[in-house]
Amino acid sequence: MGSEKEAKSDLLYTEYVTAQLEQLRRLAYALCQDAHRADDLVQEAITKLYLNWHNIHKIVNLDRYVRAIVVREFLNTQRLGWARRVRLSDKPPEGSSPAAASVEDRLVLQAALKQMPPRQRAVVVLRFMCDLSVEDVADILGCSDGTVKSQTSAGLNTLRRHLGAFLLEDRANARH
Amino acid sequence: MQDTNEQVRNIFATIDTRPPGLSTVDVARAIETGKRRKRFRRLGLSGAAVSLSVLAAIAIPYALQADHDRRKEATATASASAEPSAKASPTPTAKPGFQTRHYDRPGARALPTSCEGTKLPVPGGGIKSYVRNLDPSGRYVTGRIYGGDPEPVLWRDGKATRVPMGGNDDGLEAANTKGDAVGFSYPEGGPRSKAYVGGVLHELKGGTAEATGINDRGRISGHLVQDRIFKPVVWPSANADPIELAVPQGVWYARAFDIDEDGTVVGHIGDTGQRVAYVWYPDGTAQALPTPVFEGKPATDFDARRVRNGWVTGLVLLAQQRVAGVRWDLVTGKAEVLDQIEWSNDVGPSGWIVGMDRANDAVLTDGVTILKLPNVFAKPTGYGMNWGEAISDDGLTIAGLNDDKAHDGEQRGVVWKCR
Repeated sequence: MGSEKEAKSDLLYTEYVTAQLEQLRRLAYALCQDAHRADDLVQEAITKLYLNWHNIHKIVNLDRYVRAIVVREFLNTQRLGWARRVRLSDKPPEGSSPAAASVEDRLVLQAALKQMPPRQRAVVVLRFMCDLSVEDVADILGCSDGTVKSQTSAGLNTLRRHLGAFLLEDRANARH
Repeated sequence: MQDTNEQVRNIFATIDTRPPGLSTVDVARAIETGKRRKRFRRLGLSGAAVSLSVLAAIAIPYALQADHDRRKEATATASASAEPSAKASPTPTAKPGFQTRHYDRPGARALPTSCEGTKLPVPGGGIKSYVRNLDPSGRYVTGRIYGGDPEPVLWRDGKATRVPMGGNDDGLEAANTKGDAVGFSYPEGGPRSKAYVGGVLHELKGGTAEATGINDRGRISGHLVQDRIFKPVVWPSANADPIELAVPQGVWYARAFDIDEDGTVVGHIGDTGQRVAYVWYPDGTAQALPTPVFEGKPATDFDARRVRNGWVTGLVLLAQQRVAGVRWDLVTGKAEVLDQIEWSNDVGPSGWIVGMDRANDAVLTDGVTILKLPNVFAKPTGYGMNWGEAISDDGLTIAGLNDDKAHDGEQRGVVWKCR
């Protein structure tokens, strides 16, 4: 039983995870839109990575693999309905509907993402924030390329609806 | 001029930020937790003995032990292993002032001894399917299939009928013994509730809404979704206007998940993190279900998902920071924590529960004995889980989900027939 071997393996793990941490936290935050939950997702994802660390030589693309763990954690928590966030209060929650031109892009986009079904949200974040290919996203989500494409298209429709005339083509025109 | 994708990427760059505040991610803690889980697995202890974070408890664990399951192509038979377990909760807890009701209950009977699982067919050649519910007779299964876009499906005696709704991620949620079913679609503009009655698809009145349950009288449970306000409702029939169910003042988020034959509806009030399971009776009264208590500590977040003949099951996040099964009895007003299982997804008229145990296997339990349901497909070692989602009134038909190891853990709907 090599405790020395284990210590070395732990060191490699720590180095790898430390280097990835920022990226994973950004991904988790974009997916769940909640800082605490994002860190919980990442904590659990890296724990699972640790449990499988001795098998990493079998994994072709480690970065994608770790992202996939984060995304699957996110989808599982969503499935159980953990991520709905409206508090008991003495007034209705603020609507997340659009989107005057003065509103920060980020806030509008976050509002739009919250309105998407979890898998659709994961697809657009992976495609457009992480800049992954259709094939990579399909691999991470365990679905077909066609599903990723249709979810991307649906996600873009949702974005257009929320971001309104200010966005996309019109935005580009305004800037040029 | 940028192309559209480039523009979208630019917008997404605005959310590519680190979460505000100090990071709580701790690499050393991940190693420590990982080592502890490995130890417990080697010892063969259940996850229940391990102190896990909330997410750890509800997430799919990376089980590293050899996968002993033998993959079978289409069916799996096993003498289901009945293992007596400790009594689920030493002292089920009651709530002072809880208004109890009378229900006629069948006498106690023994759990089945063997179950055989069969995968549900996916028309169109897709792999994945997702099961949501069974009718009380066990003939009809509701859910959806995946092969390109998801499509709602009603299976009758194992034969699939597609019920296209034209939205995104649509599905059928529940059916009654006549084969009438309800569900919802996600077109642009929010969810639309649907009823499939006599073979015809109707949109339910009330605007954006999700329909969740239907009983044999055709009454439908669900909730209106108005921006971020969720209002529980009952539709007396597929053509009727929805009737809002009472919630305490100041509650803006409440959902109804199921309706019993007598019209009793269950669900929850309050948002995630502080949900309280709730019951609405047909006479218009309503009350919070008793708080589940485990090892002396009351839970702070729990909801009710299914009701049958006065038995209610749902999900509870224990004060011990793990998810566990829970069963309420509207006759006695008691809440019983079932810590041996992680999910208590549905309950039958005898109080039998289907769900998932701590080893991520599908189970049937009467609250004392736990019966593992045989795998139709082996779980992937990385992240697999199989679970029971619905149970028929006679307790002999169970619908659920089973990972398909050959397809990277994609879930396939299965039906177990028990004897």
